[in-house]
Amino acid sequence: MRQIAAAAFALALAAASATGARANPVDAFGFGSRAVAMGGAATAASEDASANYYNPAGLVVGRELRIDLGYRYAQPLLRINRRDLGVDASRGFNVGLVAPAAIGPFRFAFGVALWLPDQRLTRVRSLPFAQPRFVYYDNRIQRLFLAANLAIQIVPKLYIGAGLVFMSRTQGTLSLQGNVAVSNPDDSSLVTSINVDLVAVRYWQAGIRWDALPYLSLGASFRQDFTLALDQQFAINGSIGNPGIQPVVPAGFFQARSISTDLFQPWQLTFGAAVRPTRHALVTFDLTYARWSEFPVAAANLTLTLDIGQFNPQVHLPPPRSYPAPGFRDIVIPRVGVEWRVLDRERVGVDARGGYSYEPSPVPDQFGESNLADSDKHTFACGVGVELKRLAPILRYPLNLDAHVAVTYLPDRVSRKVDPRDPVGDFVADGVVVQLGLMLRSKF
Amino acid sequence: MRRIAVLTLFSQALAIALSGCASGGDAGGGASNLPVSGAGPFQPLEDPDNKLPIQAPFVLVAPGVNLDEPTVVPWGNLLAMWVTAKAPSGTSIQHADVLTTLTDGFGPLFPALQADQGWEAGAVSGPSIVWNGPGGTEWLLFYSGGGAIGWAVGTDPLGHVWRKAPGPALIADGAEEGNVLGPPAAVHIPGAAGESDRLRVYYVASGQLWAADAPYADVLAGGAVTWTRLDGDPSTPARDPMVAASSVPFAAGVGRAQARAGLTPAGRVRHDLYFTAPTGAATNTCGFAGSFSGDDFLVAPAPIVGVKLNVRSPAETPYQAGALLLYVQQFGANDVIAAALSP
Repeated sequence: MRQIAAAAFALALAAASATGARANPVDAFGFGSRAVAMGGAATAASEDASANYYNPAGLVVGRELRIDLGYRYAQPLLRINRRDLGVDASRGFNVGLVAPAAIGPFRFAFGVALWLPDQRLTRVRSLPFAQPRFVYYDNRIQRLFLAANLAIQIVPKLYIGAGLVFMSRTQGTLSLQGNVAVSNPDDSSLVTSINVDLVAVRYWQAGIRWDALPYLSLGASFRQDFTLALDQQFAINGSIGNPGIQPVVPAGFFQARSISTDLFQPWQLTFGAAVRPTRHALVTFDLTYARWSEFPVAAANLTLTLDIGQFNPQVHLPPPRSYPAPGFRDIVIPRVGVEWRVLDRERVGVDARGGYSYEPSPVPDQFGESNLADSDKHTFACGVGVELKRLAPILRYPLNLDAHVAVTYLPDRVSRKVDPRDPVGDFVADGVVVQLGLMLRSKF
Repeated sequence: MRRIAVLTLFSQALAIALSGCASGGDAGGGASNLPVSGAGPFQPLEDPDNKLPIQAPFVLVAPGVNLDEPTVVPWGNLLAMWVTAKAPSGTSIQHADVLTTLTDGFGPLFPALQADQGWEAGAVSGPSIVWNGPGGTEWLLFYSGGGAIGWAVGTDPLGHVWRKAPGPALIADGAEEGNVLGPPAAVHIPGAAGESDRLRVYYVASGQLWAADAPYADVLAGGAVTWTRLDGDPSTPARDPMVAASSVPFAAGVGRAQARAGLTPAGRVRHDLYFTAPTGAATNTCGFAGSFSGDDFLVAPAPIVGVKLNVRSPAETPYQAGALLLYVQQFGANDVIAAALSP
């Protein structure tokens, strides 16, 4: 207990020290294997470590300590004009913990979930405004995800949970200070300093679950919106002139500052239901509202500042460029999942799972300068879960091994440009994303 | 105690995983095969390490010969080009191929078409090729001679042998076009449903770019053809040029053009014009204009290659995953063919 409380305190402290902000890469592929195999419809049906993502309230439903460990590989095959853009694969470890406890009748649980990519912890990239890219998958799937949650039981069968998800944003400055020699650049004496911070940022999520009937659970969860900004500066402070003589510009200054959106996640509100029509069957439904209309302009805002004394009037810096609003749409995402106990023996049980989700594209038709490729997403998933029972004295509880395959199909989406001079021109975006995963779920 | 032990084990495993990750990240993708429309801008071919067998961006140099007005067709990595060759012995149309890839440059020039008709006034120039694609056998070569425009039909599968059609095909109308037609830019335009294909020819006259068309099948037959003069702006009663001199903001007029009419990935035809844009008495640059309707062309507000370069006679073609622009630039004592790529 004391250790758990200490861990929770440490997480809370970390949360308090982070700058206010909000994000989530697991959105694209889900968390764990069981929930993904069921189409991601898990808001009212997740009680293992995946509840850290789908609905924190589910953490306190069980009474056992849970540790889940898995691996997931997703390969986007995304094309523009039938040519593969080479979007990187996303692969890494799913790790999760659920630690329930009770003080008398008061039950609560801590949960932690980590998505740990094995290629890169994060990717920061700011692309030119007009560069074609699959905005939904580009940077979004290249990121570490850490969630920490607390759940409590309000009354029997009614649970709430909330927590924070941690990410980092980048801000940095490259500074040069000294003298710039105009006649011979080799005589310049500039001191370089680089100051880059990966600043911790966070967003919150919360959920509620009500086991209304023995065969019916209802749930709802909310995830805050999140914007990761990339803030970079380049600055020169120095005099301009040749060494040993009066500088032409005694205290010159030039600064270029670029602020861009590296990642955006809309706030999401999900309602879910889980129905158990028979002892061996589970059917789940989720309906998510995602507020994509707040998607910011996907371009760097560059500000230039120059002070070179008497030469200022001769230099005309371009003003910061303004970009049209991206005009994303809010979307509603339905998800459905099924789990069926196909084998239930004394020592082993086998579940077959299947699911489907439909995510309409929030990206508007691309008829202007921007080229944000996207399409509706139909995800078909299936999986199998093996439950190994009677493992005592090694394990008191059954051990679950889950596997899943999910295929997301993006049908053709045609973008017709208004201007025949557009450098990219009309384009057709389509693709498939294939995902494979394994998860070992254990209770203690 | 059991739970604490499990938690300790979990946290240590996590720490090991964290320390081991992110060691093998690649450079990051998502930018392969980026689409280009061919509208530019184009960057001249570079060879910073001096590894190419050519002096980039120059891909065809013919000592003692001034080259001009390239027209090009691709076949995979291969390219076939026809140019105007101005040698002390005369002006003719010659042909060269890229037999490996562009960065190896073009091979030697071969004669393709020479003046042998009275109306050609002793010189043919300004070639413009129409070909019905890799594997196709329909070749047309439009050219300029004696202030008029003629054409020839290819009689072999590779476009090496030509039979001239009775000419000239087009002569100036003596009105808005004046009395002399400049070099042509021919393009095959697929017919809409229920309509036959057309062969459109753009040509320079009175410093502007005009157009006329005729049934493609008639032109291919190489016999008598009835040409229809086209209006660049059907909303006005008078006939307008396709590209008016006044519509090019960075130049004083419009010179020789090359044309393309291709289906976009969205399945509609886009008409492209690449043209010489005179910026001074002896200086030029390259401009672009596009249209989805075949008239009302919109001119790009800036040159499409080398803003500060003195270049002319652009010819564009899709090439590999991007777009290739061939153009003319002086190199040493001669005008030669250079290349630029997009993106």
